[in-house]
Amino acid sequence: MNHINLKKIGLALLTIFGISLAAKAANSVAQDAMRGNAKFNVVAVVLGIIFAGIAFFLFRLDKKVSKLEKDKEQKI
Amino acid sequence: MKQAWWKILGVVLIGYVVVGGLFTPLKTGITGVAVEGSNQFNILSGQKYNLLIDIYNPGNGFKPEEVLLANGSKTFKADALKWDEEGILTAGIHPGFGKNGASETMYNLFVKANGQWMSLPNALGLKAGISDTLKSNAIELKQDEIAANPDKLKGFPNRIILYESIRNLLYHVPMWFSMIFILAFAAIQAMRYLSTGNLDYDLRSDALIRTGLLAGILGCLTGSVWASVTWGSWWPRDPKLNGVAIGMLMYLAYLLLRNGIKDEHQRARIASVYNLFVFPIFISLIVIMPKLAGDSLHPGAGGTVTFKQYDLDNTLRLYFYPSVIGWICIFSWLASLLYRYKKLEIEQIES
Repeated sequence: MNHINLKKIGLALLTIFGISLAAKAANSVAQDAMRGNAKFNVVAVVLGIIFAGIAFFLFRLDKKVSKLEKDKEQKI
Repeated sequence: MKQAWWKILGVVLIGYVVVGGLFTPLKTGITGVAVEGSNQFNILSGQKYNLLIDIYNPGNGFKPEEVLLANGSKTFKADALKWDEEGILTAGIHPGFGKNGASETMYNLFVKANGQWMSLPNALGLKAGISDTLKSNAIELKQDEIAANPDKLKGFPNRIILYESIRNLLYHVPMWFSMIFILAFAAIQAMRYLSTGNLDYDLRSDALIRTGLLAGILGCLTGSVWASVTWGSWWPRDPKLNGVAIGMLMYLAYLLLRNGIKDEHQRARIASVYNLFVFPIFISLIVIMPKLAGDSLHPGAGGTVTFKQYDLDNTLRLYFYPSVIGWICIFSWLASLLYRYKKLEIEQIES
């Protein structure tokens, strides 16, 4: 329960590394797209990131709660 | 729902901020200038030019009154102003210095329309021409009138480089405010644990720190995206960014430390003490150190801790403060959900 999952951490680091590489490759394309409409598009991206982050948090919590419910059922 | 009022407050405020923040128009402003028949941003003294000025959000009944090109010591007033309704203002300028000549400097562009001044800093470079005999349209600079320019227009400030992306102030900055508040709550819970020995407070502290880190990560991502189109880099060299990266790593170390200890009382004690030590360091890394560094891209460094007059105007304030309060409510809500889950999980294990 309390041990550190090295696999997960490694995967997270790899993802971050991959994203940064991909971002570098797509740098100018993404930046140009976000500069559109007098830089309005970047506002949409920022709002999207925030809501996606909160949704990610909620989905993870939901999954954990479902697991808890299942465990409880099995105990009864 | 337990004590729902602040959750409802959070949702209402965020709804208000998202809708209002996206639909409030930007003030009229200058987004760019070009020289007719040239792709250069340098002009020579002793020649006549037509400037093509891009006006953003001119609105109905836009009436240009004056166009100035000034660098603090010398000012030229344009004539033959022509407004073509498609957002381009044409202005004739003929700079000259007479015998004295001029060294190459950048000039700022000022446009007065409907009684309101707008400016574009470092709009054009001016070089000394070979034969500077033209009778130029130099005038005395009316600095006072431009400086004492009241903000009469409605809408968000139209700032060079930012333009529409100034709205991100309402979404990116509150992430950091939320993170600081949530982590402060976590430090308070750690203190409460140390004074009472109640494991419940340690659990709250852990949930708050996890949520605070979520706010921090979102703040980093949104800031990175915003910086890429305004400051030209996904991670610009800035003391605030590096400070917050170190601060977040310290809080990640808290999670690892807490996970690494089996005995729950020992775990709670060590984690709480670590938490209490990390919080002031975190605050000094993101608030005090960038100010000491003196040079930061972020506002509020070097000057005052809060936003200066220049950074926030009254229309932005109308949304900025509700946004901060709203996001703090939302993140507190997320933290309380996580805490309640963790409490149930522990009860489940114990039973």
